Amino acid sequence: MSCPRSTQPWGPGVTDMQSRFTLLGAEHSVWLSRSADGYRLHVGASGDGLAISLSRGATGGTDRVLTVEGVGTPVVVAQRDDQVFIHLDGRAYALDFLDPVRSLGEDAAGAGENDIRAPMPGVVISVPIRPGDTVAAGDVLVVIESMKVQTTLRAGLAATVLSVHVAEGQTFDRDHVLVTLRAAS
Amino acid sequence: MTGHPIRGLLVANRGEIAMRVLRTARRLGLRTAVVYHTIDRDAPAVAAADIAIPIIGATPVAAFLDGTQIIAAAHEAGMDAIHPGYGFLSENAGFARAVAAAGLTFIGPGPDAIDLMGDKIRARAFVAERGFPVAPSAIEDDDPSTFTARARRLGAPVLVKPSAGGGGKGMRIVRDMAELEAAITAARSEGQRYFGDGRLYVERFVERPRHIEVQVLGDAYGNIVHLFERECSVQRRFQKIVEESPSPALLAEERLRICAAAAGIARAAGYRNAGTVEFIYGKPHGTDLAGEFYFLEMNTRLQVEHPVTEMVTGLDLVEQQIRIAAGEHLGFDQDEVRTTGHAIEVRLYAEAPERDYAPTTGDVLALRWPAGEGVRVDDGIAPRQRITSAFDPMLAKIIAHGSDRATAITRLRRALHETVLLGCETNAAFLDRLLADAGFQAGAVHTGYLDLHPEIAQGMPPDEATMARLLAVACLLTRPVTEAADVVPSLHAAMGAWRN
Repeated sequence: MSCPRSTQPWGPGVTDMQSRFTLLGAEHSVWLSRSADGYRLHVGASGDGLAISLSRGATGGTDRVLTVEGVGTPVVVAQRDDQVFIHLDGRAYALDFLDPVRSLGEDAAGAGENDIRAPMPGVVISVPIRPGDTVAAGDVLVVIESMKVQTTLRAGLAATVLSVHVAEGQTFDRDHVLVTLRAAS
Repeated sequence: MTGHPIRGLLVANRGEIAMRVLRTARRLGLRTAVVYHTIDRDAPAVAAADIAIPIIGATPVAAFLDGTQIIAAAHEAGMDAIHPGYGFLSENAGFARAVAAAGLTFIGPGPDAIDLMGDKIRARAFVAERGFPVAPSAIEDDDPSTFTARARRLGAPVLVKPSAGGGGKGMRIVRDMAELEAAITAARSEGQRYFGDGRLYVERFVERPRHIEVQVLGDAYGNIVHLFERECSVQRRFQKIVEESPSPALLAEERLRICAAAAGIARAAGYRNAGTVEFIYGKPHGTDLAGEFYFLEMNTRLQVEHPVTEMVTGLDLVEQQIRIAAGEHLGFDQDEVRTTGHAIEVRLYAEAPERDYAPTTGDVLALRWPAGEGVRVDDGIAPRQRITSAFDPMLAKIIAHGSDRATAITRLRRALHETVLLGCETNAAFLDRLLADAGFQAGAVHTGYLDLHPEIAQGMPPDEATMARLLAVACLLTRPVTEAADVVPSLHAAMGAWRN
């Protein structure tokens, strides 16, 4: 099958799989695309994106060269959990990756009904809960697969399952409501 | 009076000052020991000393306030002397006496001088009696019935303060004497409310005060010299952030007068070893009148910012301290003390000025110090060390020297840019903004400067190009992000599109 080339090779539905990072309290949405030449960075509504690459580390591993559209900048990097630390142009920065799965669990923190939505399009692998079940924080709600990667969606806190909207094998789009919970009061 | 030879020295401190003292002790060929709390076991001083002895306490700080434990550690390590660093027990006369009673040499002044200067009211009276300038004041206790009249005679502006006070509570500035009585009434009621004591004193207030301090050195034979001054006006909540020598504010003649006053005060107190006399200096605003300076207090210890003096004089103050404590005569007189060029120090803290200077914590994941010409770094942290809130948040001092102030500033800014510390947020960007600030560069600072210019602490968000580069690095290092990108082309090829 040939893939038609266009500036927007992804149709709506697969969509922009946005990743979010916070820096200095502000949230930034970005996504990467992959072409034969490497990765491209898309910030906001940029079309083609910027060609980017990061050199492999030498012995220590912290010194790298970031290349953006052919222009290189030395950086020093380090990581810890979901934080990326970067020394660039004489300043240190810390970016926090907002793991969509984890932040979804955190969203289900209010009183009343909480919709658990799909973070990305995919298919349901298993849904081991039924309406009326009580779940504790961390309990598995739905296991989904997207892009050949399995993801487990867990309850953010203790709740009762109000409704289950999908079944094993069912496909869905991003933001599709999969399960509705009511947080335990 | 003769001292005792010193062959081994125990450093009763931690962090950067422990490393700093150890460095000189080793250079002088002394054996070295350090006490440490387990939370600091990865700190470089522990490995740098010949012997490291753990100390315990209800809190990490409490361990360093336990003189008995520290003296026992010195004996256990076979040391002859104890250097207290700064903070902790460095100005505790009881500790100084206990060290001497234990047959050890305390690297610092005699306990009587510590007692005298430690009592701020007693020190002030001592200094005033000997004709040195103190801020004109009216103390209510001296004669309550004439208090208001005496206060009025000081002349505006004045500062009305509760005698029992602290932390700026209850203090009020009176710029128009017509408001003096109302201010006294209000301050009295606040003193009563906050401290249970409504007594007051009134002091002449210096507008836009500058903090000028003078380094002094005295041996056991009555020889005293000053090593010129440092200016430490850039402060926040009375905590110094930037220190420099010489002061950009003083005229040559003023400089000599302040330094001579400091040496005179030290001489009058029979001071021995290293100390610093602090003054408040100010020029009546918007006039050409000469500046006025007043004795504030004397610190009977080595100060954090001593490197600034070392870089302009070429002296090693810790070495001088050790020699004096060992009974040596001062190796030079006043006319042999010269300064060259200009030195500035900034204090690198684990804190976020952008968030009201909130303390920060983390692990040191990457660490690299600058090494340009005229640059010196006094640090006390190591890679992979955990930065906690157990102790004060100072990580290092970065100092730059240059032939003039502008060169020192340029070198210091470059040094800050070259400093890599990842894993724990620091005030490095703030320090750079401060050094770049027009007012600072013009030398037009005073102790209230940062409060007047909150934008220096705030900083600006990164521009678009920087943001893109940061996000690029973050994306390329975050596996879920690259994996999502890796998989999509093949998905597209396989599925056509997930529509709707």
